[in-house]
Amino acid sequence: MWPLLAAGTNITWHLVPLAIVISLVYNASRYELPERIVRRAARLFILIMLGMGAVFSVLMVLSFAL
Amino acid sequence: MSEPKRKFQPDPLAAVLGFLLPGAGHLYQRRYFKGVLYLVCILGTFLYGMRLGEWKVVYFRWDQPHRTYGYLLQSLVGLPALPAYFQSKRYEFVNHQRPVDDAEKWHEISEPLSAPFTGRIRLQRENGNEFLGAVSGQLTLQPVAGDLGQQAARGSFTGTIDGKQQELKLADPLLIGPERFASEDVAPRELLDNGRRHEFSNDRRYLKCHIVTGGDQPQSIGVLEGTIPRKFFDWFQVPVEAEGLQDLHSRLGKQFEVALVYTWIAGLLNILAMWDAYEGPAYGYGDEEQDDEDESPDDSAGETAAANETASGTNESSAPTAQAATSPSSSPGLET
Repeated sequence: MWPLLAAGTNITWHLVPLAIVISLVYNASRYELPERIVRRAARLFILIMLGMGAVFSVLMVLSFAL
Repeated sequence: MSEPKRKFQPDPLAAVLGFLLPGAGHLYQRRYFKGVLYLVCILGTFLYGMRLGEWKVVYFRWDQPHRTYGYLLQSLVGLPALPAYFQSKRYEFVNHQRPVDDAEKWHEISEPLSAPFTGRIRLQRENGNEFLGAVSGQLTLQPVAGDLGQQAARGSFTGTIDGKQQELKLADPLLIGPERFASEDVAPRELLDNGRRHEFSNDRRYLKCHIVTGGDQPQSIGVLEGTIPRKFFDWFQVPVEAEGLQDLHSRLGKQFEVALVYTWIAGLLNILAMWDAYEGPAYGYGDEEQDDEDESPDDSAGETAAANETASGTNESSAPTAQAATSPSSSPGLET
């Protein structure tokens, strides 16, 4: 996480550790078995990243040549 | 895993412990994996947010228009955020004689002061030459009654000046930063060194006073200007005033907003952790669905998988019902 504090790092990268934490904690509150938590968290993390990637792509297209 | 299956019943004590420190409720219940997970994730998120915001994103103010509504979320992290509430009371108590957001320095001290000093000095020598340079040493000041009844300060400075160890007498006029302050402008005003007009610090306290001759009629022969340390609990989670906030926004930009979001989300996530400590996981252990998945390895397709998804998260409102139907043994309060 600490390399993210380096000067010049894009602020968007801070969303990645946040997505990891949210995925883990959310699924930990749903299930009890560690392997189940981790597997579900990985899946949710990928979904979050894909969702954010989609939004990012749409915004990028909309702002093209602005 | 090695942790034995347990019976989930409402456990208020674990919920309270979970509020005070994320994961503590689970550790108390001996659910070590989740306890450590919550502790690392939630506390890590909170501390990382504080680090991103240079430890100045968590504070409590309830005066208009500076109400920190975000603190209501931050406070859900428990003990790591609670000092802010008490610091706001201490801050108001110490600074009650001056208006809020008045960043002016003080002209007097209320109790003796002894601290290491770092800064610059301008000193008139006996031969008429003037010395101007950096200096560091030990400074002591005591409040005394002035000639006209006002409060004054007297003291001494011991340090190495121009290569020689010297002791100098200090006296009014004194200018010193507030005792309890989160982000103070400590840039030199008289003995400029690098030309910076503003330099904010939380753990340093501005100080300027005159160097005087001894005797009954002391005369000023120079100026001492620099900083002394401010104690940790005199700046940590103390309300940030407008000038300090402006500096943070101008230097950190979006990073300051991200820092706030981190600390808010940490508080929100702890609600999930507290509820889990109180009543157990929402969908049970999770091995019930594991059995189903064994029959259908690819749980992203097929009817079994669709049932799994219904029971495991895509529809939260129907999940407890689905779970109760497929796995009554994992419901809170029942032994597995």
